[in-house]
Amino acid sequence: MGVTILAFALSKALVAPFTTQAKSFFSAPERNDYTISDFFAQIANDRAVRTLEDRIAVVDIGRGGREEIAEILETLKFCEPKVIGLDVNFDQPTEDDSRLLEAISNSPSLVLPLCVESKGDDSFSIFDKSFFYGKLAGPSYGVVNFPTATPKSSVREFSVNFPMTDRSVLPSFVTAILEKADPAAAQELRKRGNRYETTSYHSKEFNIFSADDILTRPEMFADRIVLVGALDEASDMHATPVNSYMPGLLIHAHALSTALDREWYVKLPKWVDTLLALGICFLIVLATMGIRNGVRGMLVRFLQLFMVYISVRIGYALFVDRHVIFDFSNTLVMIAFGLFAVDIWNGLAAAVKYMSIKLHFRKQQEKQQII
Amino acid sequence: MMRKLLLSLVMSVTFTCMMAHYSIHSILGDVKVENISGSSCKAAKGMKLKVSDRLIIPAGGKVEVYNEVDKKIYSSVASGKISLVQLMHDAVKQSANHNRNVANRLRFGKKGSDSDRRLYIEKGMVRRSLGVYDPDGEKIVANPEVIAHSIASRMAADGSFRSDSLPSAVEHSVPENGGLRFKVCNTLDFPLYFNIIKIKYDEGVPKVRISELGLPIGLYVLLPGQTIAREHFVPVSDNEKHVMVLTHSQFDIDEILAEFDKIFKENGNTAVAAEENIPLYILEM
Repeated sequence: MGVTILAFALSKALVAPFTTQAKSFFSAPERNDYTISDFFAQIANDRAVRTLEDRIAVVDIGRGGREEIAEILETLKFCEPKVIGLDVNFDQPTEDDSRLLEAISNSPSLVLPLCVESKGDDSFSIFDKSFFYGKLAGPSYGVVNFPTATPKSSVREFSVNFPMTDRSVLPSFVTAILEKADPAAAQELRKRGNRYETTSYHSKEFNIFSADDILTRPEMFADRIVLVGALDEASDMHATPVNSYMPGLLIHAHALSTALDREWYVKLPKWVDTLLALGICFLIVLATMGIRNGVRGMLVRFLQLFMVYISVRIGYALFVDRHVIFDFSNTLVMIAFGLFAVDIWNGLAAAVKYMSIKLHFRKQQEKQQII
Repeated sequence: MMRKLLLSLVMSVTFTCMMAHYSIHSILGDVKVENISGSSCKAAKGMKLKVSDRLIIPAGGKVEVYNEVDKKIYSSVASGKISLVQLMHDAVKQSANHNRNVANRLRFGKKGSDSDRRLYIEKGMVRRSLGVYDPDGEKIVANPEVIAHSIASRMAADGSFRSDSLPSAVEHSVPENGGLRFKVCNTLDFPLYFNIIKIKYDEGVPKVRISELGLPIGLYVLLPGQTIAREHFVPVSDNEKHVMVLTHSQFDIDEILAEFDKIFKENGNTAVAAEENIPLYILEM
């Protein structure tokens, strides 16, 4: 056990100058951003069975302007959708916005976007809003900012709400829509008390419609959440665990679907990973010291490979079947460096032994000279 | 998990006996659907399927089937002739096989090709196809032989050139320090296609190439109401002519150049006959 702890500490020390993150093995250089759960999501997304999420209909406005959007809202009203989430910001008024304003006012259960900026003290202020914000009765608003570590990081989570500088709390776009579409799910989301929730991206597909489809297939919008926005806007493309470029509107759709299904993910604490890494280190040390015959090297290396596979397999099953995110980067690092640490330990031990023998021999020689 | 998926599949199949609710979600390749009587037809997106149908998937092809009851999309995992139920069963089995899915991703599964071949399928560009600009004229292509004959017919033995009056507003002039400039405004209600060629007389022998003002690949496409202007500042030598070729349909400039060389080889400096009164406008600049 003593050797295990020493090997564990040595492994950590060996890894420290390079990296302590397994993500550096996989990450794109410009983003330095990868988590083990991305890997699981990609495996799950490649499966042969997917779900068509028909509780959410996505309407692509393409290059449509304010007139077209007003027409979409006017037509959607007749389809009686549960909620309309319009992911378009109208920052400046134009010469004639009367039709758009009327359509927005007359749309029941409409949610519009707001952008916020961080004030650094864990509070936010409104940064970008429509020119009619606070002047029109009817629409609700939700914050569309994605919680990412860097501007190009993958969007893995959605925010539940945003504490503002004036001590009020604004709901995220997803929460605002959920409150209207499924109040029980929204309540459960709030009750969980988390600031962020993990979005489930894998094995899901959405029906995407054009504005013309609203007239020809109105049944596809009735009693559904309808998200309206552009899907080909280069500035609104974001990396996700399963896709390098996903339109913001579809990211909202995935987050909504996750919340509607109550697919709450649980992240295992870091100490579980550390404990497992210690166990793996023990196994490697045991195998290295315990096996005495000539096949030791080969067996230990096969053991390493097997442990990598088992770690990934368990992590994947936990992610897909139990919605548990287990970041075992320490374990992977330990599998890679554990044996290296043992080799260094053995080398140091051999060097100390050699030095002590040499010292002993020299002392004996000195004794003989004195005699 | 596997049991749940299989149970849902069995329930779906049972329910299907009463009512057809399968449809083709997507297709890759020449997939066919064969019904119980043995007749087959080409699969199409949205096509309704019966539980008794069989799908014929070619090698490299893929089909996805949507089940309205459980809202699931089932992808084919192999090619060949396969029943609808078999397809869904295989998809469920593959989906639930965590060992295989993880192994495939870690590349412990099927070995990939060691070949160093490049496919060159991915392309770093966007498209604005003619179908977007001009849906009516997308498939109409002007005959390069006719255009080449028409250009050749305007070249007189004394080196002069007979131009047309153009249907749209075209201006051309020589800039202060030499070269050429042009401006075309499409005042018509359909798109115009044009390019500019250069006829260079080398010891009296005309050689036709694309002008410095022309586009080496493709054509200028001018939508109704659009205007384009361009300048080239290198002085034009006396032994060359720059000729604008304008039509209401697309044409291949390289084919025209090839045809022109052929005409000159066959006829030398003798006059060439050409079709008249066709919507082709040629202007010396």
